[in-house]
Amino acid sequence: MSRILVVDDEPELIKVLEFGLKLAGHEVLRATSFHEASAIMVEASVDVLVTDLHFPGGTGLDLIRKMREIRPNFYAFLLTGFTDFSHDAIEELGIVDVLYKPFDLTALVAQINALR
Amino acid sequence: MLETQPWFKEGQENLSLIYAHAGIAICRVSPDGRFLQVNPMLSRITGYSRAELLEMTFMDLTLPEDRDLSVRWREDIKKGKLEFIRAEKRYIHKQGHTFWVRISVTPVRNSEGSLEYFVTVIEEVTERKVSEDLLRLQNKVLEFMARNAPLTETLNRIIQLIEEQAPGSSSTIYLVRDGKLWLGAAPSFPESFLKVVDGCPIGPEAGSCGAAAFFGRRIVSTDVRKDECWGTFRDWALSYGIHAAWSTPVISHDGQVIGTVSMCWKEPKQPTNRHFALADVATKLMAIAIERDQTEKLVREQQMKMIASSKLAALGEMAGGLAHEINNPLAIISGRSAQLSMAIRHNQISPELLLEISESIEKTTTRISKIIKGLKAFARDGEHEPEQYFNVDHLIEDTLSFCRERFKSHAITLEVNCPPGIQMRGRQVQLSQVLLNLLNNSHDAVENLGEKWVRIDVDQGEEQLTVSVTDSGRGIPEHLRFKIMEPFYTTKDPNRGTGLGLSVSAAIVASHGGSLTVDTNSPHTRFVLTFPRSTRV
Repeated sequence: MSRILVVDDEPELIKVLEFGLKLAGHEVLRATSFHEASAIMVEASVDVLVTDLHFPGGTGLDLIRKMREIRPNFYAFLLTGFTDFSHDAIEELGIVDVLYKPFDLTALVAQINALR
Repeated sequence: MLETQPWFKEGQENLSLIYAHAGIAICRVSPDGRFLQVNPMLSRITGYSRAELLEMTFMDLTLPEDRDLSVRWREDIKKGKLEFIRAEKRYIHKQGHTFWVRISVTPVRNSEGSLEYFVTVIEEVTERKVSEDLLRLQNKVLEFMARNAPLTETLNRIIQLIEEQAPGSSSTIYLVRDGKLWLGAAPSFPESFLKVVDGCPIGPEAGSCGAAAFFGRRIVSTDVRKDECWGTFRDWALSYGIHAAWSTPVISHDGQVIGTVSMCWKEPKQPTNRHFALADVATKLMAIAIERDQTEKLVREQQMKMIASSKLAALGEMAGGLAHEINNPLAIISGRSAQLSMAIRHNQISPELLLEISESIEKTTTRISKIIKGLKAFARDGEHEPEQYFNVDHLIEDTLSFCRERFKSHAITLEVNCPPGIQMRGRQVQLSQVLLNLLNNSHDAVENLGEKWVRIDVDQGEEQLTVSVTDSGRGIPEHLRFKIMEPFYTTKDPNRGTGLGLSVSAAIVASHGGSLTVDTNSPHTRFVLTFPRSTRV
């Protein structure tokens, strides 16, 4: 079981992710903005971060970069609706995978289950 | 005594010769206006013989409208209020037509100072007067054209002036295109008359106008009952009381016949040089008006094409955001469907969950179809879109439906202050394009700023409707305020901007009778669209 933070400004999408991950036995924390997400990351020890690329207050990449400074060890998944995403940052920030919306929820849950 | 001197006699003979051969009329007139002595020139210009003139008075020659003034002049001279008179007035020729003269009247008094007679010098100035009139006419029409009046109005104005200058005539203007006559203007004729000629092929027997267009020269029909050019149109013309018609072709700068102007009369009639001069001025003006109209149409078409192509560019700038706009709700729908199968597989399905999922899918589908609707509206052919009434808030909502995400993705706050229900009239697709252009610009201007916001404000005033787009930028530098409105000027990366957005937007707004300006009083960058009352409901 992992503690997973889901960040997206679409509450509907958060609900879906939460359902799938909880069903697989994980603990799920939620955030809809950069500020909210970083506050949770600082307080709770999060194993996995599933974050959208764009949300109020910053980007998913900024969030991962900032959090790596505080606690380097977490798995990061990036969700994006854009098709022209630059892959340079993926390696630099140690992102496990970039998922393009619409993405396969079952596959994402399986990927997270397979971590460790 | 003077008379006994030989040089005096010679001088007197010379004077008599001058009197007889002078190119101007010279006469002696009694204080009550009778002609006492006239020279041959007066007979020439008035048409009356010397004997006839000596039986007449000044008043007999004067046009009735000018008689009062002439009497006053004469009385003023008699009383010594005026020393002499120099003036222009109208005379009536023996044959009945009016002509202009310039007169100079000097009183001759005896040694006691009482009036003996007038010496009057008369010069015919009709030709000069006519050309002055025509020049004035020409200037009036040119001024009218310079105000960008529509072609029909200009043509109506030309006819109005012809009819003023040739009283009793009714004029028609036809345009010639593809070998056919098309109605230009004929305000003095009933609608039923106009329909008959509209679309008729030109030809030697297609009436005086059709023949003038066909031959490319003036066709003068002095008697419609007899002249050849009327063919099958004869009875039709006569039924409208046309008994004479003189048609002059309008020739374009490259020698094409592009129209005809016809002066029609209710009785058989011979034209004078003055009529021809009038027709020549009218056709020259028409040539300018028609060619100008054609050029403007061409420019408008080009402008419309430019607007259409820059619309695609504006859409292209939004395309990245657009994918995001649709992929987000798609992710929700596919996620909800995955959620459904997971729930079934884990035996966790409940009526509440089913309801939540189905409602979510439905809601999200609506969201996508709204975006598609906005896009579809935007992609519509704006070029041939008729002007119609629409709600300003709908226009803004439709435009934002496919670009809101682009702002969100760069964390730019987007605010709309638009009272619902404000209506205006216009081409919605084009105005949506203007809004999108301004939003694109604002987006690009603020995306890298610390403070990022864009605001749309709509204000309905007494006289005008304003829609403004303000962003958190610091305004447009003074020296760029005019430059940014020029086509192809851009401060953006070449891959991002075409430099056409603002110039095309300004053209669209102008075609709606409005203006696009930069608000120099705003501390932030603020573009204002102002529409006059006429575009409102």
